[in-house]
Amino acid sequence: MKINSSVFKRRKISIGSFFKKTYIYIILAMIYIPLIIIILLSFNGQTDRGNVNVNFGVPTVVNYLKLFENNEFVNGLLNSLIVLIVVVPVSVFIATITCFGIWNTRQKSKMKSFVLSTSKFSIANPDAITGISLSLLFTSTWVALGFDLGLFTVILAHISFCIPYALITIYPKMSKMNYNLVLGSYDLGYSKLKTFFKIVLPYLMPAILGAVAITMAMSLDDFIITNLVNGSQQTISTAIYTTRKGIKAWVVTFGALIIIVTMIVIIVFAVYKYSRAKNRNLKALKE
Amino acid sequence: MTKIFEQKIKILKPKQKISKSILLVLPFVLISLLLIILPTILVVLKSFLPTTSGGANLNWSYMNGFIWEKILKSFIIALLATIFCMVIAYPFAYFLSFNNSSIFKTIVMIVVTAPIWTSFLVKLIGLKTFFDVMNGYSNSTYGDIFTVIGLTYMYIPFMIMPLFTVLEEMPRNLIFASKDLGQNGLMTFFKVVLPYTKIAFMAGITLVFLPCVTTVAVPQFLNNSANGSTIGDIIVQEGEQALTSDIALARAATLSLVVSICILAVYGLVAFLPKLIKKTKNKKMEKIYENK
Repeated sequence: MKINSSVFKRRKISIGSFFKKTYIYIILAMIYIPLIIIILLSFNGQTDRGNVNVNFGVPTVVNYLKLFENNEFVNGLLNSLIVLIVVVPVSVFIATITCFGIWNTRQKSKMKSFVLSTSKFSIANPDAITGISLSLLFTSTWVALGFDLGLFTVILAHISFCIPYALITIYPKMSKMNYNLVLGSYDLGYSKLKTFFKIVLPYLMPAILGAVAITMAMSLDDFIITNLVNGSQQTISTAIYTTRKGIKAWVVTFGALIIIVTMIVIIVFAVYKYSRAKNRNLKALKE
Repeated sequence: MTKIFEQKIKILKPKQKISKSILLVLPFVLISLLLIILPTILVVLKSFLPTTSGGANLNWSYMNGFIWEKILKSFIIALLATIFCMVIAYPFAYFLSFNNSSIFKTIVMIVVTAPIWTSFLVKLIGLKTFFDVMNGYSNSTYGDIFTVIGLTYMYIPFMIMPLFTVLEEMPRNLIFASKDLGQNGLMTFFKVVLPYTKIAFMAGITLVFLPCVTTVAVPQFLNNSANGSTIGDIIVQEGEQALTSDIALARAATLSLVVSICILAVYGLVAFLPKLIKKTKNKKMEKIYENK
């Protein structure tokens, strides 16, 4: 009898865990099916007007061959890259020195609360409203002075919404740093500049890399604010946004490329984490 | 003399330090004043400064029944999407956090959060083309329910993340204690686990509900019916005419102001109503004790 009951119990647990795991897998599948559809459609050719073909036929790679012949795509991608190259270094640099500045005072200053609350306000503000406010600013100053809306206004807008994200990413790491490290570095004869580059910057590096990733993603992904301040210049996201009532084939092809690249990066990251966790487990076992 | 001099140095030193740190913060302050705070002030100014043609203030007469209906509809759609997210994400986070293998947990969390890093629009197009492939022709989805589905799909990782973090941190002793004290599994869930995750719920609601209210692209892609657009779309449509029409920009500013006041009001209700109820309850309890 005893053995029976224990067997029964074990089976009950396994049925429960089977159900739980199935639920997790179903949700994961639902999240990933649309992404897989995009990859499949990118191999499905295109209609005569360059739209995506939603009825599956013989797989071809014609979409990939025609991708760089498309002016909309190439132009948008180039503009996006220009914006990215300016925006990411500038916003991460400003966020880093701002974090160091408000941390270095080591007091609850008004400056610190001003910086943090402005950043939070900017992040919480809905994109559409931020876009309208920036559009108002540029039309009443930049356009009134006789210039056109274009890449310059796009870059300014991107810097304004990227800095808060970079700041919120870097600040928690900065606030955990021990000030004695900096004092020790001064005692050992480093100048202030050298201390910043040799002590503070290496300590902040993981957070700074995170900030670079986030600002890149935000800048590439944004279409609402950009759409309101870009004038006639299109970035890649606004170019995709214009195809909302008839998805073009190049959008699906580019989307498939993005998804594949992201997935590869994520898989590499997951394998790295897995191997690290395994090593840690082995070490714990040995000890 | 030397003592006074030393004292002077002592007084001077911290001041100098603060001024140098402020130099580092200066670029941010300038940028935030110019590009974050000034535009916000401009929105408020623009919505109150009259853009008159024929004596009537056009930007406030724009706030008619149609617009209020749209605002209400946006809030209802966002509420539905948030509820969908909660109902789907809670069991997911709960089951995952009670899994024994830590490797399984980290990998599933990486896989769930991975789509955040791909483009928002690409995911949206994936969902649109998924429905199109199911139906066999392009632009095949009609109705607000598709907007709700799209929002749920887009924002569900933001609901899973805070819930999972809190459930993972929850001490398992609480559950054992509750079971020792005679509660069954279901009652333990409702009396112990659910109250413990209240803060995560609030975080999840903030991360999902707020962007859903002012969503721009989701109804445009997924809902092909004529009046499918939500309030975010209308704001952007007006804003797109900024260069040619001053009135459109003024309308967009007015709408932005009204919508943000609505959001703040709803958020205040959600955040402060429970506190108020608690306070009145406590007062009642105190009175009862006093009477005894």
